[in-house]
Amino acid sequence: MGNLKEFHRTNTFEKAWQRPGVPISILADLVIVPSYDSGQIVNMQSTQPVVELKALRYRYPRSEHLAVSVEAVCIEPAEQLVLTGHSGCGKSTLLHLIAGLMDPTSGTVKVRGTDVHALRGSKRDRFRGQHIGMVFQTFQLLHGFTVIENIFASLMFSELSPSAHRDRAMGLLETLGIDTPDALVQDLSIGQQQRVAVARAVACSPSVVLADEPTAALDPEFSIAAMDLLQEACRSIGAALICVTHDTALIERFGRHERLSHLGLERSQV
Amino acid sequence: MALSDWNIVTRSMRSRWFSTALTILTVAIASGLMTLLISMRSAGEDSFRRGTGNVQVLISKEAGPLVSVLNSMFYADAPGNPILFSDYEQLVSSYPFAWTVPTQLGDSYQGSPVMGTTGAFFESFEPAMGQRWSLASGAYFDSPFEAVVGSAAAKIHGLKVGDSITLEHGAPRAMGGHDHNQFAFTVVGVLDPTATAHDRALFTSLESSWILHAHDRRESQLGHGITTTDADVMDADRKITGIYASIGSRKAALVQVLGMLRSDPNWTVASPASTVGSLFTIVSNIDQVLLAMAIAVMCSSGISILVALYNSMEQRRRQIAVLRVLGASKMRVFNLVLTESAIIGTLGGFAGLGLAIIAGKVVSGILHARVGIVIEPTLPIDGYLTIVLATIALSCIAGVIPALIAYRTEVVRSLRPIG
Repeated sequence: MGNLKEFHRTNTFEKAWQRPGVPISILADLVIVPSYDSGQIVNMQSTQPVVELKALRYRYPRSEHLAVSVEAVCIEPAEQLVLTGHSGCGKSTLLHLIAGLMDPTSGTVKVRGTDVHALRGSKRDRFRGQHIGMVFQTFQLLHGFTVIENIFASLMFSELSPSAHRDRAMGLLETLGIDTPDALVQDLSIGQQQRVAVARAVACSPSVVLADEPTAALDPEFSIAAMDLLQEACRSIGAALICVTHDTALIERFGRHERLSHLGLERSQV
Repeated sequence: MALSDWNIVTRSMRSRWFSTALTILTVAIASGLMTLLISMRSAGEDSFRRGTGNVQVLISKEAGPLVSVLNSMFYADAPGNPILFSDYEQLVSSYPFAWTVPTQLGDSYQGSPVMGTTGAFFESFEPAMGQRWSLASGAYFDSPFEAVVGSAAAKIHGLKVGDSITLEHGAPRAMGGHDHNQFAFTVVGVLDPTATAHDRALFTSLESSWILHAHDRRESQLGHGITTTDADVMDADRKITGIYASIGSRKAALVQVLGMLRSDPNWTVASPASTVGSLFTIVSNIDQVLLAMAIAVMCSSGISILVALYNSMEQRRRQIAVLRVLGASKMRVFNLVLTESAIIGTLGGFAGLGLAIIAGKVVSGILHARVGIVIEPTLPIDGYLTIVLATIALSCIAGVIPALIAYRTEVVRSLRPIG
């Protein structure tokens, strides 16, 4: 229920990922740190983990086995974590649990100190819209809508004033090197769609971005550039990143690697 | 400009424009049909009541009052049983009528009925209550073989003052008719429109009519090639088929005269206004069937909205799931679908109103041209608004199931990559 009180804009970053294979500049544009009223939803403290998982269990209906079992995990602000594991081990399910799209069998998920699953109905949806960004394997852009409208779609659930949406969206598109704001997303190349998906995920300056196989639809030559873009975008806004991937070539790019198995999360050396 | 729920809804409708347009058209046709039927029903009765003019009593020798009114005032068919003019004169002298008009039907001109009457028809009889006859051109007939033409008849046949016409024996559409080629009538006047059935008729003097029928009688007796004049007309030829009458403003006298006339088995007596009322009581049963059909069409249009939105939900499931991930609540996506349904209902309702008004004008024009009566299908403004609001409400009801599907969309399942 908090109000967006301030935006801190610092630095300027150059257009990122202009051409595949060209190293991108450091993204440092819109570092937007929203602070919210303390209360039911958010109790924001700078030292507080962005995401806290405690004794988290999830069992699919009519299944005897736990699909997710995590004892305790904390993810610090701006930390970037890669999550791996064999197919079907529950990586995507874990992301959905963090996003509040699924309810756990037991345990808690806190984002910025707020127990996501204690929020009901529209409060949880609003919280997700304001604190959690998501990037999907197939991007999940709104077809039939333009590039800028896809960014607007994310902003319309934020507390940012509608009169500021255009400036915010145009700033993002510019920094992410998208110069066709009025093009329909289905007419864009895969690489451009990826950039729009990233722009949409960070548009609301979320506390954490959840990326589910974000490069699986891309050719290997584009994967690294795409991951660069995503990581830099998160870094630039101070958002933590939890990225699920099967691509072992991308693991070393993350400061933290967790492997998910039926035994739970197991930290690996990067 | 930011994105709004309205943008999302209209974009969704535009992306399926053909299906949306067809659904709106279906709703418009149903709503228009309903509007037209209700307005025609109301206007039809008004028009028929109007067509009886200031006639309080219609006397004839027809089988019943309803047939008498339909034949003698709305020109449905030629009256079958004639009245001797001498009987008419005796009747008139026996009752305290304020005025009477003898009428004789049985001839026609190229499908339009021809009424033989007297000058009293134009002087005393008002075709609609409070509306006297007036001429668009020329004058009323003054002597035999002059004709005055109703406005619709003049338009249909292109008649004008000075034209010469010949009549056919027998009512329009009657079997066994023949031409009265020997007797040419001159059009001496064209009447102004009265918005009644009289507009499609032609009027001549009774004497002309009697001469025609005396000629027919004499031809059957003497053979062809004879000439008939007023002098050849016998009492048996002097016939009429109906009597328009009024007692005036004396209500008590009217009741008394009606009672006395009805007790006489020689006469069929009708009170035209109440006869038209009883006609609509009969018609209202059919009318209710039509109304039920219109309601059924409305319901089917509601189902078409449901089907169109339901089918679209499969394509939109992913879009809804994305909106949910971005922060839209279940209630918000429910409202998005319901808003779409309401927009279809609103557009369909107003388009239906437009269709009903256009169709009403067309039907009105056809009825005026063919039957001569003017039925102007109109409703009070709140009547129109009620139908539009009912259409919107029905559309919203039809949208509830697709909206519930949107509400219950499983986000995780809907976002799974295809294949």
